[in-house]
Amino acid sequence: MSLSNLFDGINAPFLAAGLVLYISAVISGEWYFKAPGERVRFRVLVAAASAGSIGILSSGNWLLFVFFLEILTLSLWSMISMKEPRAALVYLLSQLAAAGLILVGTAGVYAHTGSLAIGPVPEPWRVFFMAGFGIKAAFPLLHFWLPEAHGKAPSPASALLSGFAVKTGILGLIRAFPEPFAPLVLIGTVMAFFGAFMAVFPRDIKRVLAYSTMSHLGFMTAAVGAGSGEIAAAYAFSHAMIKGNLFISAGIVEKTFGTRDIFALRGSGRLHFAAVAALTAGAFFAAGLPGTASYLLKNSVISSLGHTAPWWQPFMLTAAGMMAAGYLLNITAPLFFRDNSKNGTPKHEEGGNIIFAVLSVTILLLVIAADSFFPSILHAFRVDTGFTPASDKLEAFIASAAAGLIILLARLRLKGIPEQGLPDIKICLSMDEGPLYAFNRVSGCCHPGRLNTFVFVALVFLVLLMLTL
Amino acid sequence: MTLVLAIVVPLVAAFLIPVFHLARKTLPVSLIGIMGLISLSASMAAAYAGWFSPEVSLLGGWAPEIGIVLVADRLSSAFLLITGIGSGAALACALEKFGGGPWRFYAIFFLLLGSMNGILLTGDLFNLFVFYEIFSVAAYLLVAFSMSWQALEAGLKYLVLGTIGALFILLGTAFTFMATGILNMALLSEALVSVPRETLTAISACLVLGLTIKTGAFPVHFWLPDAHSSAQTAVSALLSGVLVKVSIYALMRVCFLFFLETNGTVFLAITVIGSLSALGGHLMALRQDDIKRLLAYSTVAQIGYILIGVGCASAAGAAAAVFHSFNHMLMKMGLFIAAGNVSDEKGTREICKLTGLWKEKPFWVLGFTVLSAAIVGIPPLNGFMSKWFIILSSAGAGTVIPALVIAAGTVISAAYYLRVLSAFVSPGESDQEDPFKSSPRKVRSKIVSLTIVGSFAMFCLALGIMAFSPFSREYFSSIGRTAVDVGAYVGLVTGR
Amino acid sequence: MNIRPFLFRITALFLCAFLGVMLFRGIAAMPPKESVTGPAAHYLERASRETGARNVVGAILFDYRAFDTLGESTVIFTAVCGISMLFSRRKFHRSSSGLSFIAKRGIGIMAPFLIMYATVIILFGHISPGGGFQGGTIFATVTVLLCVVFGSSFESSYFPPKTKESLESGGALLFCGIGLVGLAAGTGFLSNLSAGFPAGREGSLLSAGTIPLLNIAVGMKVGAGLSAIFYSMIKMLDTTNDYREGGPIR
Repeated sequence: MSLSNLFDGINAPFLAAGLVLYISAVISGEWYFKAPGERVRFRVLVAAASAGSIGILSSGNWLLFVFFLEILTLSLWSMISMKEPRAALVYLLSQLAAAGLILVGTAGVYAHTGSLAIGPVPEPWRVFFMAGFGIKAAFPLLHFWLPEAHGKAPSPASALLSGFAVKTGILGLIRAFPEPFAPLVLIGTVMAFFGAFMAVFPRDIKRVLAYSTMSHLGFMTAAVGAGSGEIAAAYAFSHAMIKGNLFISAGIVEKTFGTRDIFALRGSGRLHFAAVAALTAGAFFAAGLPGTASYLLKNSVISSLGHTAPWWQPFMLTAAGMMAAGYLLNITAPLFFRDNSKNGTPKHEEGGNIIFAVLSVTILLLVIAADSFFPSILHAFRVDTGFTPASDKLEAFIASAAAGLIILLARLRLKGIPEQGLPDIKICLSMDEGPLYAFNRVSGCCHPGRLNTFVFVALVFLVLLMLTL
Repeated sequence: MTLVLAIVVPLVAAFLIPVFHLARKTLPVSLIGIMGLISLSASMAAAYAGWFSPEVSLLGGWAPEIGIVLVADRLSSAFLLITGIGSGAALACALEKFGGGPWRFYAIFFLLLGSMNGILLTGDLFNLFVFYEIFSVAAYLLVAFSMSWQALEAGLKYLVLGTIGALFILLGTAFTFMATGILNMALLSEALVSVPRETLTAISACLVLGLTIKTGAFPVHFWLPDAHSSAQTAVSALLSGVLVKVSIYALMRVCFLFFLETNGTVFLAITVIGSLSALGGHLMALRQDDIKRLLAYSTVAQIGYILIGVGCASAAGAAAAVFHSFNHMLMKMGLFIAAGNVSDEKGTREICKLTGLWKEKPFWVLGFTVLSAAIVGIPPLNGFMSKWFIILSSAGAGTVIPALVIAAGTVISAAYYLRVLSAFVSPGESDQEDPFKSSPRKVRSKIVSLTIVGSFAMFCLALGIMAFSPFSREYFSSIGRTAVDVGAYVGLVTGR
Repeated sequence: MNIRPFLFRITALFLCAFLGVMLFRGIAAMPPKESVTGPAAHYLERASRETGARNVVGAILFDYRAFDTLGESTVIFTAVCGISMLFSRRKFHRSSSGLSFIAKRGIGIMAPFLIMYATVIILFGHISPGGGFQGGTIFATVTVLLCVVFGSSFESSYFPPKTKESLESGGALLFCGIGLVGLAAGTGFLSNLSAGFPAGREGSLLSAGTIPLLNIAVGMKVGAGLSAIFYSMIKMLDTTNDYREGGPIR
């Protein structure tokens, strides 16, 4: 572990992202939390989380990496449980599972090479790293915790979660797979599209943003799989800024109007423009319009796949990029264009000192704007920001059209879709149904109360031992 | 010389207690405390001697072939330290709770202490069995000591299963003696190489089954949750923290000496038992409503971890197993003492009724939190490090499934310990009900128990950080090297 | 008719049979031994010379493996402790008044002889078959007979529980004390002739160093212990009978 690692190559964008995010999260926490006790708790937790983050970035071996990951996990768990203990539990358990898998992989690597140093992972142990960092970075099917945790956490914590915590998964993937690795590209592509698709439906702003995070993580994973970790790192920086901004401003909207439901917020932008301005501005940069950093980076990811990739991979990534514009429009447009006279005025519920909120959002917006208008900032992170043609124009056109179609369908709000969007694989962590419940039932049979059963089991056990030894 | 004192001094203390009782009805607490201190310092002296220079003491001056020897090497010293700290803490808790009244309890306690030291020090297979008998009888009695019907039933269950275990240990010993004609463990490890395959199967199956029953690993764990949950607080802590570790030691010693070169399948079997135990214990703990029962099942799971370490059959695995044994002693004793005290004061052991404790007794809850974080394996506490070492040695032995079981166990245990903690911090009944309700009955403040819990929690933190330093890691790996170095043990005993 | 217990038993039977076969294979696989080897041969050859005891079993029990004997008698001590702890709740009880006059008179005549017999078995343990365990058990039998025939209160007035306790502890302490003499002499715990105890003439009453002393210690411990166990239990039985039938057994 050495602090010089902090400023080293791939770490630099993560460090920069962390720095800006933690500052603005602290500032917005001052506004978000009203009770002094909560405020103090949040400050302490942010300090712990930032210590963990510095540890993660500066550690040179996998064990310390996991060690600090768990510290980050714990402090974020505590932040989430300030508002939603149930979602916090899901978050904690999933992250502990991830850390456990990485530890098993690390142990395997150590047995294989005799070293714990961070570096490329040899073959039989790759699957553990993929699974572990896959939970962190919310690979499809391993993403069950993400919409819950991101959607239900307090907004500053959501910003940290989405801006930094999930990026640690990407960081780990970059470290573990420096060479091109085809399965990651496949996973990333599916993930980018799946996240974008799921983001179209929910009415809860933060849930949309959570799925959007998943989609962007898909882009980064694809870039890692293509072997260009620098692009993934630069993408992570840019995305951290954007998501931080969006989540904090979603928090402002929530506190101001008392709801996150986009139906209830219709037309609220007309009533109280200042409250939704930050959200709108963030969405503008996040949507991936040509000229913004998102656009450059998405293009870089797609072009990094190269010509050997099957045709549908750039296609799906393009579509996912287009859909980003769609779902962001989905949550911002109604703020201005729908008349809200029928529902009555949304209630006003201010947080603390409004200056803090404005300041925290402004910092992030400035950084976003800076890297959008001066792409040379991203050069510092060694990203080629040239306008590389993503793919054939026809393909791009078809992809955009497909994305538009999906968005249009979603705008019609297919009948029967619940408020929280399409059903997800949340069931895995429920004690009342699903695999855990089945386990629970089975284990119930393991302890009958009769003494002769005990003796019988001991007898069977001895026979088994006799047979095997 | 010091080795035999570690066994005889507690026994003499136990024999003296009835004599003192003739003189005085209630023994003074200080007398029992002093006897405990002397006994513990005798066992610490043995541990010290064995750690720095492995020591053999020939009882009666007879050679190892014909007499009984006591052997202390680093493995026994480490476990002597575990039992010393653990029984000291349990004795302090018991003295605080009962005072000097139940003199028979203390007599049995000292008998137990002496027999544990005997198991840890003996180098003779039959002598091991004899001490196991004292150990088991004393343990059954301590479980039944509270005389409630649950405790009596649990003691009976323990008696029946423990006797089956003892029977198979005796059977294995008899087979060994028939096949080789000797009982000295060091000489047996050389002689067993030439024993026919079928006989070796019978020996290993009997010994492994007997010792597994005594450790309380999963398929034959039935006695453990009942015994650990229905005993008195100090006894539960002693059972879970110390007694189980003594059985682990016996299993380690016997398996490493006898089967390392002759029957490697034994270690595979131990790994399988360990994995089953970890998984089964955690899953059973998940569905418990009784806090002490939950902790008891958690013990089953932690025994599984230790057995996984033993099953690696390597120096690293043995070192990890010893480290985890030590950590588990600290964590589980602290947890049992804390849980026992808060549930005694609340008058219930049901988790959902143990509410509002954060307001009433913040220190207990704080200690419980740190210790449960340690047992779940949250860095930077010691549980994380010992689990990591077990995972590492398991991967080094080429088995991944046990490592995955440990990773899964972390998640499950986090789930159930969080349930307990969230009950503790949730607002209690007293917050909502009227202030005129009679206040809960006054209980003597348990400052000694609280100090023990607190210092164990601090110890957990310190060990977790110390485990990073190469110096302390070297200490633990030297235990592992001693454990698997059969040649050195044989040379030590035979003097060759 | 419920078939499950039946199936359960059949399965258990098969498992036991299989286990028996496996264990028997283990015995059958051992090479047959023509002569006694190992420590056993050593004991047979040299026991009388090395320990001064003519009784080889006694020599093994009280000299070569005396530490095991300490352990075994401690098991009894533990059991006594435990049983009296478990049955200590019943403070008051009414004793039965014993059996008929003939039985009482018969036992009264026999008891001194039994006690003498027990003493001989203990004291001559190093010369002839017998020893502390056996003699102690016979001694305990005397108290059991007294208890049954004369009633438990009579027995407890002759041998009060406190006496038994102190005898038992005294035996155990004697055993440890003898062991510590060896330790003080620097030849190891429980060492016999090498610690300077006199060997005496082989076959005489005062011979074999510590072995007679250890026999006495174990005899005290076992005799007092077993009779204390019986007394605790019969006390319990008496009280329950009282409750059930409204009076002592006539």
